[in-house]
Amino acid sequence: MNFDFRQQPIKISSAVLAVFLGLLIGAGFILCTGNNPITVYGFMFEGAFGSTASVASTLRWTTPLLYAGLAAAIAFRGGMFNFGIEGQLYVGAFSAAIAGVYFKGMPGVIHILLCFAAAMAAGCLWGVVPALIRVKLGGNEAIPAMMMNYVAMYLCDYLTQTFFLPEDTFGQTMATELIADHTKLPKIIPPYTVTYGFVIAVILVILAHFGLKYTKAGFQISMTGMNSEFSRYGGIDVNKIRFRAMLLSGMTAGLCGAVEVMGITWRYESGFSPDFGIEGILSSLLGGNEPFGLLLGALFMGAMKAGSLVVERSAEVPRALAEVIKAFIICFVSARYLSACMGLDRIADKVRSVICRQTKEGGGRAHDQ
Amino acid sequence: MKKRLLAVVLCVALAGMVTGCNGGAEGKTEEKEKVEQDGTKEPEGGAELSAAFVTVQPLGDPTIDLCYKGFTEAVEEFGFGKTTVVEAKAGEYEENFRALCEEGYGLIIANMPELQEAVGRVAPDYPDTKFMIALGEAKGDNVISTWNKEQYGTYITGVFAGLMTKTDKVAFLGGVDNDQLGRVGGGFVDGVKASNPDCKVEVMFVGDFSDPTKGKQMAQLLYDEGCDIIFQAAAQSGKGVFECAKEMGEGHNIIGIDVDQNGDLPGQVYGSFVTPYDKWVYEAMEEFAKGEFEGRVIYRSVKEGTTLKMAEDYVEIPKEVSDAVDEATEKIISGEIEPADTLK
Amino acid sequence: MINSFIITVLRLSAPILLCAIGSLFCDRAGVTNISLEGMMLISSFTAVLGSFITGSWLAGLLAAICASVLASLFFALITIRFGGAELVVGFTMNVLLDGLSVFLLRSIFKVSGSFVSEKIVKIPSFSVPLIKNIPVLGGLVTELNILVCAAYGSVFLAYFIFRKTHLGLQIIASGENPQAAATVGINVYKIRLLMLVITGGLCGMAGAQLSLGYLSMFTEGMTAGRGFIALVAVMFARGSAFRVLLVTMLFGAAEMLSNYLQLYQFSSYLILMIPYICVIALTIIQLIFERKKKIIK
Repeated sequence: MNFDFRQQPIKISSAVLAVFLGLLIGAGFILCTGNNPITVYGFMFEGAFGSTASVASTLRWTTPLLYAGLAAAIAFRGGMFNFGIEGQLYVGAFSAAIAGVYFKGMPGVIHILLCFAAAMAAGCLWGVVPALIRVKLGGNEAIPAMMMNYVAMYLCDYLTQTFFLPEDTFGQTMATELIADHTKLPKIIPPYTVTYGFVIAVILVILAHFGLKYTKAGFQISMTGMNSEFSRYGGIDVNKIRFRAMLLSGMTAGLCGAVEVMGITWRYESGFSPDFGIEGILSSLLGGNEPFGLLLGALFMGAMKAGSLVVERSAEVPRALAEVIKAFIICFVSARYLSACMGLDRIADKVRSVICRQTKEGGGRAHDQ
Repeated sequence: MKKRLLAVVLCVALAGMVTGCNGGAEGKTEEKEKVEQDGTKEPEGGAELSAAFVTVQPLGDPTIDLCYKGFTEAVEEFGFGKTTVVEAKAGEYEENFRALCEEGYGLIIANMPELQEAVGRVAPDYPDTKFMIALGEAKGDNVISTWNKEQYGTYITGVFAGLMTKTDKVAFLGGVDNDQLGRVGGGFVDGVKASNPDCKVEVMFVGDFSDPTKGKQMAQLLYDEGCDIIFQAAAQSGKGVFECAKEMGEGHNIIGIDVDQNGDLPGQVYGSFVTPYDKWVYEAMEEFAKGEFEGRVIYRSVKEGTTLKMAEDYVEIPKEVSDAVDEATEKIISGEIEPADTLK
Repeated sequence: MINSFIITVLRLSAPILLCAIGSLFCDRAGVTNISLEGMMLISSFTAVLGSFITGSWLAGLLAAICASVLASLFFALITIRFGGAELVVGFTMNVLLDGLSVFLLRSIFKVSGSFVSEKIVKIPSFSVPLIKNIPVLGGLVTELNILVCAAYGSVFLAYFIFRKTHLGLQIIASGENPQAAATVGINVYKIRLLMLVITGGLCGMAGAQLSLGYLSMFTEGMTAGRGFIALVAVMFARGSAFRVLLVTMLFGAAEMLSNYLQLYQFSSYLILMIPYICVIALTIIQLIFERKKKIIK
């Protein structure tokens, strides 16, 4: 089985076409349920951008996707498949929660940083096994990483149940105590649930972009992902870089869990993540594994999530439809020749040459791509 | 390059929208509030009653269906005009409640303890919206919290099972190993020991409330081990237990959970541990409709009907057994017996 | 009692085995298809749908196979015709088909969570009359149904195809060196398409076995990671159909054994971890073995 993944850039025309086709197919499904696609998409848009509450909701759902997506992107750029993001964010969340509960008596900012550090360390640790399997043993890291997800979820539940269960919870969910007040991330638009975690995420994305493009370490990671043989020829220690990429990815995933715990739930709860790991991977794929593309991709997925919640409340369309549309879009995005086959490439080229001719005096052919 | 520009433009647009929408949204919610004010403040006088039903496990889960039954009955009886059902997944509870409050729902029914924390966070911000938690607790004058002390009812169930078993081996199959199932199981184990000290009780957990395949596997294992009665408390996974018992035929029996499952497999279901969730929801909605809503914590137990319902219509229940059950019930109600509330 | 153990292992391993053999065909032909989980789910749903509407389990089975083959064709379209990355499309299709099965469940039947109904007809099972009471042998012939037989039959079929037929040779050639194969005149695209269709059919049967064979209901997400276990089996098998059988049986047995452990008062969470830890451990052990072999060579 061939699990090599080569990083390939995405054209804007492909992305736009993919989104359009995906929405078209979605409209078809909506019609089948007997609803009007325009009204349903209208609800979705309103639910994502229509009011302060909606925008806050969109940002709130974008935040974990940014972290998880960044984790996925870093791994992909290094040529690794980090399917273990879900598990890494679980252990990260758990560690952050424990650090938040048990280190009382520390000043606010230090405590927050401690929680973050705990989460990053845990996520990093959880990425070691799959990384070693790939680097030292030459095996494929995707499936072991996936197995580690299940192990992580059960492990965190077991630890909570055995050591960290608070007194007299009548509850059903396995959860720890609430974290200390000053470790809760403050909200940007109170009383809505979007926190400064979003701001930190955007900063990290910007850092990642510049890191990948302009630093030596970033260059090494990118090259290893694009062509490992060439990188080895150029003197890069491919194994070390791959290992580092995976660990970095794990740290970011751990941070995802931490931000979710410290911003939204304020404790570790069993099953708190509605597949953030998978959605993060999808966001990254949507954005072509580039940090700024990820920003767009995560925003899009976050908006769709926020919108689909409203759609489920207002119309009778199940939110699963949003998943279907998202997945179709990503399939189409990956289909490189789709726009070519549809003749859009020629149209796009013509448009570009027209624009270039108009901006450059004296004409000339369009140099780009 | 293009992508970067697009990303920056989008962020600026978003920022602009936030500030712009802030002004616009305020106007919008104000308008909504005005329209809904009449509906939510004074329920009498023919103004519109509105209620939302929020759940974590989806409809189709027998427990939730029972709550929903109470909801729909009250809606019909008292004429609630605006209703909706919301299925909330992890991480979106608080958001959903806030959205419902802003959309002007007067009464929000929250089901199952996962939602109690979110209610606790949202209720203080919206004192005019009333909440009822169908199994959970949150502070507030506008919140009715209900707790179920399952262990008393399951003690009686255990007494029953201990006497009905012919192989002196019964089993408790829970969904997930948590506090609530600890109560359910703990009372059951005590009850069995009390009525039949020689009877062994096997305890297992499926690990998931919605994996009937695994439920069936485990039921198979338990029946093969010699258990002839399985007390299943595993929601959807429990349906696998029914499948297994159906396949294996007579001699393999079940005690149902939450709803009256006595008729689901006639003859093989000896009884069900019933919790009248529908009554609780109905009562709360009745209070709201009549304007008598009072925020408080209610503890429910055997007296209010959270107890064993024997399958008399389908199974021959010997007189000694039903007498023993009645005796146990009396002892529980009088407070003479205090069953364990955990399995440890 | 050991019979009952064997029976359950056989019936539960059948879906995984079917998917694994399908994936084996794809793998040998050079196609990396990780959308097994999604294909199983959509076919589980369609099987129940078909059985419910027509009252016949055969219609349900056929519907399941159709749905799964359609999904495979979509995969083929996007990857072969339009140049999509197989890993990306495969992974995304899992999400797509999972969402689709949930969407259809809620839109068509207006229920969520799971769908149970008396109208759903289960696949009938049969047993060989006398042998079934013999201790170990009996377990192998009791409570079988057509799909379980198909699963074990497919192992032999795969072995036969790869070892003894011209088609098998073409498949292996397409996988090992597609350019060389094309030079000799083998239509690699056609072979790969055929493999995908076969995988679709097998996954359809697997899904039907889950929802109509073992149970008679559909639950959202009922495959619970079995598609990925199938992938692991194929990875361990290194191309041999019999090794796929062996690994799948081991997984089935490990899962049942871990259920037994719960009877001994260990925390259920720790026990539920065991199958997954086993997979990781086995991966590591096998990789170390392979390395040693390479070094010796």
